[in-house]
Amino acid sequence: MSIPYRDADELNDLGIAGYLKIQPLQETSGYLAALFLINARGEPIEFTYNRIETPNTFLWRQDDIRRHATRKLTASILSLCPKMPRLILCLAEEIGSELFTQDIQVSVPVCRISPAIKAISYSTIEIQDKIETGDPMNLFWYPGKPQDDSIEVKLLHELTGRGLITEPFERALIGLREVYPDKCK
Amino acid sequence: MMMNTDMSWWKDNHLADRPRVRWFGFLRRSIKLSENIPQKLSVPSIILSVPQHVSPSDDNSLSSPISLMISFPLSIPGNLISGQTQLDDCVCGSVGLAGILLKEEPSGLKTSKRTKPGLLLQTSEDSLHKDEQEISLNKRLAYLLQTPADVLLSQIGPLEWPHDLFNYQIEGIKTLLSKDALLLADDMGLGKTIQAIGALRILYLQSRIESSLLIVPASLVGQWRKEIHSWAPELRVSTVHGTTAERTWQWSTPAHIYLTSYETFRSDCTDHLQSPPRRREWGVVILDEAQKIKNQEVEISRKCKLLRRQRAWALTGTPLENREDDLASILEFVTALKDGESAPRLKPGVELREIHKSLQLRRKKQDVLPQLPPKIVSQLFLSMNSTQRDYYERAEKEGIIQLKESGESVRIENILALIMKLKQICNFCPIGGASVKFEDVFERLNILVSEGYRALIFSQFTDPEYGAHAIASRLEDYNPLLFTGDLSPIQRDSVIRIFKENRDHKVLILSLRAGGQGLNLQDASYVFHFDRWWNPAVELQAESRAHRLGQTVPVHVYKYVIENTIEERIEKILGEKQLLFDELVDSVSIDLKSKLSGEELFGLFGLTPPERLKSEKRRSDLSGNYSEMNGVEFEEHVQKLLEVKKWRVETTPLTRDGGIDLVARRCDDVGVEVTLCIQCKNHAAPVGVEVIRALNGALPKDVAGVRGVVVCPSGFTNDAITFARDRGIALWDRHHLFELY
Repeated sequence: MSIPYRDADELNDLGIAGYLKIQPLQETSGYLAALFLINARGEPIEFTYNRIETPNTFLWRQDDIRRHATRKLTASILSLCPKMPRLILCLAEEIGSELFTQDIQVSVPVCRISPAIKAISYSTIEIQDKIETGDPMNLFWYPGKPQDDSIEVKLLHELTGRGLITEPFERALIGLREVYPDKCK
Repeated sequence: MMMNTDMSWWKDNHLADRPRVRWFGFLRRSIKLSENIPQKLSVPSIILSVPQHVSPSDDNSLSSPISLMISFPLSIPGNLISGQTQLDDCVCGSVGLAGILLKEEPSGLKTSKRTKPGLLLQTSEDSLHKDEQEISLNKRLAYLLQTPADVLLSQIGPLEWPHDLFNYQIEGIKTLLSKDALLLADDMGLGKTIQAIGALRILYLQSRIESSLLIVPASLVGQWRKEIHSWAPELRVSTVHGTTAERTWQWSTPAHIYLTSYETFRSDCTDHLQSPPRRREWGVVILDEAQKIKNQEVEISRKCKLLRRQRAWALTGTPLENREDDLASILEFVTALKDGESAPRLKPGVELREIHKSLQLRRKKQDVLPQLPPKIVSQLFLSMNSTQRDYYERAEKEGIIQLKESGESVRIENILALIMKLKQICNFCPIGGASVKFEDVFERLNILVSEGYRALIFSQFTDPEYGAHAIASRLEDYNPLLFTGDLSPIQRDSVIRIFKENRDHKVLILSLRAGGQGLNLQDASYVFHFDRWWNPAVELQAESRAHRLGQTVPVHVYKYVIENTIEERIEKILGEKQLLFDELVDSVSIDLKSKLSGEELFGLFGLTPPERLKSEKRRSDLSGNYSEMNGVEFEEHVQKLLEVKKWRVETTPLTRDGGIDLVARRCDDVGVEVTLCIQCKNHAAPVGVEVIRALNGALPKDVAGVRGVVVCPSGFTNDAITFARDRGIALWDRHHLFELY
């Protein structure tokens, strides 16, 4: 039985954050996706993954395919994941605003992240915010930014302060490569 | 943590939507699938994989992939045909990663595409074997998805570090993380403690270990505790010391790190498999100042190697002092040891050197810390005044005469005793207390203290005539503090704390044995070696108390040598051995031909050793015919044997001795004082359990470093042996006494 860390209660109370990673396969033949849950200390808690194959043909618009695949993948992953995170973080360049504003509705805050130097499209119903410590980031909250004293924001601040705002996406990709070695050459 | 027990926290808003086909007709208008689906073209519903949660015990889950499958008779790319999908590619699932203990060698990952974080050295042969084994997906993922060591070690990473880590320290931590066995032999002062704690912290946070044991010199327990609190504040530490009852509780209390001293460990680790340190397989066992197990034969060395351990790290700034055997003993510990295995036995030779090369990580100060202020070493050759000189010469002549008169019966111990006596006279003249060394120290202190500096003075002696106490009593103007082996661990901590916090104390006087290792005393920048030690590595250790990480000004070291005395002759030998030390450690070539021999020792006084010392094992005339001795004579006999071995022996009153006949004390190989409470029984028959019981009852309770011994030439009954073993009481029979000769 693992021994609890000293002074860990406060961090444990912040709960877990979910990092949704969607990785297109080569030659637009499909997508891999993972929901990577970590606690405020960055320790991995859960890794949920799935993949989808898409038709590689001119008959469908790629945007439609991408949106449809992303929605289906996300739905499957949320159904697979046995734990509910406090908030979901995703990269704005991977996941469009429509996924959570239109296609899938979640009861936890969703925060799309983008480096401040990148131009990213976002929905007008998303709430824009920013992080200025370290590498400046733009945040796009939906359905709205939680209160500043909310646990979700505290969790985000904790992750930001510990350099865990985007790093877990890299780990999620590593996990996907492990699960789908042949797809990620 | 919220469990996803129902699906109420999310829902799909567009279950019926499907992509629309692009129409490439002449009008180039898009066709909605729902309206204009060609008769033989359809986009079926997405087939979702069957949700399946993988518990930590499962390997993985297999299910059909999600696929946007299309069925129509046209020629279509192969990857769209569901039948062509390989089942073993079709993995989806969810893997719980919390609480998985990653005991396996991570390099055994079979399918990993990721280079292990921080892997600097080649993977061990064992791990290559493990490569052939399938490691379950959940464990592979649990390892791969841990926060990388690089990120953990970053100042802006998930862990808070009290100070920036130097690059070489980060490399050291990564090496520790990647090696089950490592001899970290960095120069003193480079932060081996920090590196070990940093690696431990990461191992815990990456769920790679459950428990760890840290064995350190008694004087350093407090410092390690503070460093752990500073560098790994979330880890729980159980410091094992104190009374038996306290220690029992401390060994069993849940903790990440069990921190204890060599002597406490020695008393608590018995041959019994259920003795506290041997009850479990440790994730890591760390020996600080690992040169304490340099002797393969001593008890502490043997016991350290008994520990079952997944990782073994030895920390030392002096891995090789001057014997290849020292290295062999340390490296015997530096290996993982699983249940049922026994430590390898290494012998000097090519193989040992190869093992040494592969297991040692050593960095030198000048290579990694060019910013560390320089250390300026000065040897001061002084001449005694006439009174001291006269006394010295008389003592030396008398000593040589006595040695010559002893003829063939002269022993090495007689030579050593004479050397010791002469060294003491070099410190202070027994008549009048004159000391040219002290005069020089005093003059230098006048200057350096006025400039705001502080000093450390090391002596191998502690007594009030020739050693640390004598120096302290003459330096009252400088408000000196004393750090000697007779202080309790709490008192030692207190002295160090006071010296660091109160700059009114200008001088700290330390016995070389007690204060020469592990202490961080950067507050002082002047070091005086009041007398010299046989081993240059010991002196170097002492100097590194001040010349280490955190020192901001140059460190001045003064070594005193009195001209035309035994000290000067010893100095010559020391110089030669210093060269040897550099050569051995840095080139890892081991040649101990110039080991100090009997010839060299006798040669210090212009003598040659007796023939029997050259070829035979030493035996004194102390061997006795036990059947002809009465009880008192037998006690005296044992006393003599112990005194030859440098024990200070006291006899107890003949009556009301409580079962204890002799009390013997000395600083053992570990450098701490050990007390033996000895019961002598010169019985014709083996001693039974009742004698052992009586002694056990008479032993002082809850006093560290005290051990009971029953001596009987005729041996002991099986009951007595079992009873004594369980209680840590030593039994000496005729054979053991013979070994004392």
